[in-house]
Amino acid sequence: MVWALRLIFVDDNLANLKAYAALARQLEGPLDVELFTVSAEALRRCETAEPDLLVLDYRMPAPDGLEFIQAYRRLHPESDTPIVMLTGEQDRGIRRQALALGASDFLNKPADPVEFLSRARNLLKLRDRGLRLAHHAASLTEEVRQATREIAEREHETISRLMRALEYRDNDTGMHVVRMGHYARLLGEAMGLPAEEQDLLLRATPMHDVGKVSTPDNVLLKPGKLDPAEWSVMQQHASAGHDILAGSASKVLQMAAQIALCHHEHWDGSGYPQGLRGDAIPLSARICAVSDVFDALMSERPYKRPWRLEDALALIAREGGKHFDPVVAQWFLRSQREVTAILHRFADPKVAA
Amino acid sequence: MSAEPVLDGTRLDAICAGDPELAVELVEALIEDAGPMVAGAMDLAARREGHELRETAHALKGVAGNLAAARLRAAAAALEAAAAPETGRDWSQIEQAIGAVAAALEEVRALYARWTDPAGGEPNVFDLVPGV
Repeated sequence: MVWALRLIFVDDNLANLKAYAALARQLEGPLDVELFTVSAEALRRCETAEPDLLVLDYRMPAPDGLEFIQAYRRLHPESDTPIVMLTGEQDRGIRRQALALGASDFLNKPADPVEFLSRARNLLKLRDRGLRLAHHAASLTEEVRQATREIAEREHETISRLMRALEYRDNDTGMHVVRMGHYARLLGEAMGLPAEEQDLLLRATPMHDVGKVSTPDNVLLKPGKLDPAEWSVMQQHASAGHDILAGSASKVLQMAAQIALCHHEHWDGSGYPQGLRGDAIPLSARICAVSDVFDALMSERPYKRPWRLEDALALIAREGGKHFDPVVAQWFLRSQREVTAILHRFADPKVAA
Repeated sequence: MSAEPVLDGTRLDAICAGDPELAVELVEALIEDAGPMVAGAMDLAARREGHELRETAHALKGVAGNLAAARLRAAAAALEAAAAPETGRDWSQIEQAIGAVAAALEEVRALYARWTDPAGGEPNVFDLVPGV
């Protein structure tokens, strides 16, 4: 990649600047040379255009060379722009001050052309290498970010498809888990959770019933009411799901394990498997519970018609503080417009008669 | 007269990388900047303002040095030294130093006039500068 390096010369005398500019013409590579007789103007320019080499006279109307270096380093504290100050040979005290303030090098006045060109070349070469390294590092970072994003998307897609497959076993089209993920993210957003948490909710919630792979067909698919023994077997899917998902380093699977275990807990302590109450139930599971129940009510099953929206919402409102966390239930009701949009966007496909 | 050449051809050549047009341009810039400085120095001397006179001489020395005007630089350095408080500021000596500065600048102007004289053809600047 080829880029022009910017050289800024600051000297209150125009003839001096023209001499420096003439010397700069002998430097290699594309260069933008800017000359300033007023140091305050040069400083303003540096606010928006960081130079790659700054050459300053010491004696100038304010800001002088020292004040300029100080102001520049304050303006760009992370910058490694080389700064060369032109001073008289006798100004040793000034040189020490300039070094302390961030000058990179000095040139005696009048500047020796050979020395000037040699210093400028070396400093520009270093600067150019630094810029190339930074550019390379930035593109590598972007590549890693892109690759990580692709891996995460693939992971999400794999999980989604597996969960949808599982839902087919449970008399479902597979869209139930998709909608649940979106309700959960919507709730996370409405409740002000960080974006990363919202994304985890979207990805983890669809795995809430993964434990049902361990539930025998005669229980899972039984059309009628379950007897106490069957109900006990059915309840085991929560722990089974946790066992399947727990122990992973993945944040999605960690949250999914929590949700799988606790999504049948009730706010008032009447749920299962642990009978947890209130805040003892992880927030992710409380969010999942509302999403799951609402979507189940709104879905058609072989044994039931879908509920009307207002009836389903009324149940959510009624169960706040009993089955559901009242705050989560409230946020769900407040998000009715977005909830309806999700219902329509991810509707079950029509099955031909 | 100073032993220094009016212009240091080697230095001017190094700055311009042998480009005569650029050399002419730089000497023109020098004359434009140095003229008001010399006039200012005369004025300051007339008003006996030693400190400002020394500052002006210092700036003139810098410009002349950067642009290869060796004789002007030496004259400005002598003026700066004469205007320093340590030397007691002998104003007749200062007047003399200012005269030398003005004369050195006139020599630069004369050289410049020869380069740019339309009747003189297109001489190579560096042929006219001692030291090249």
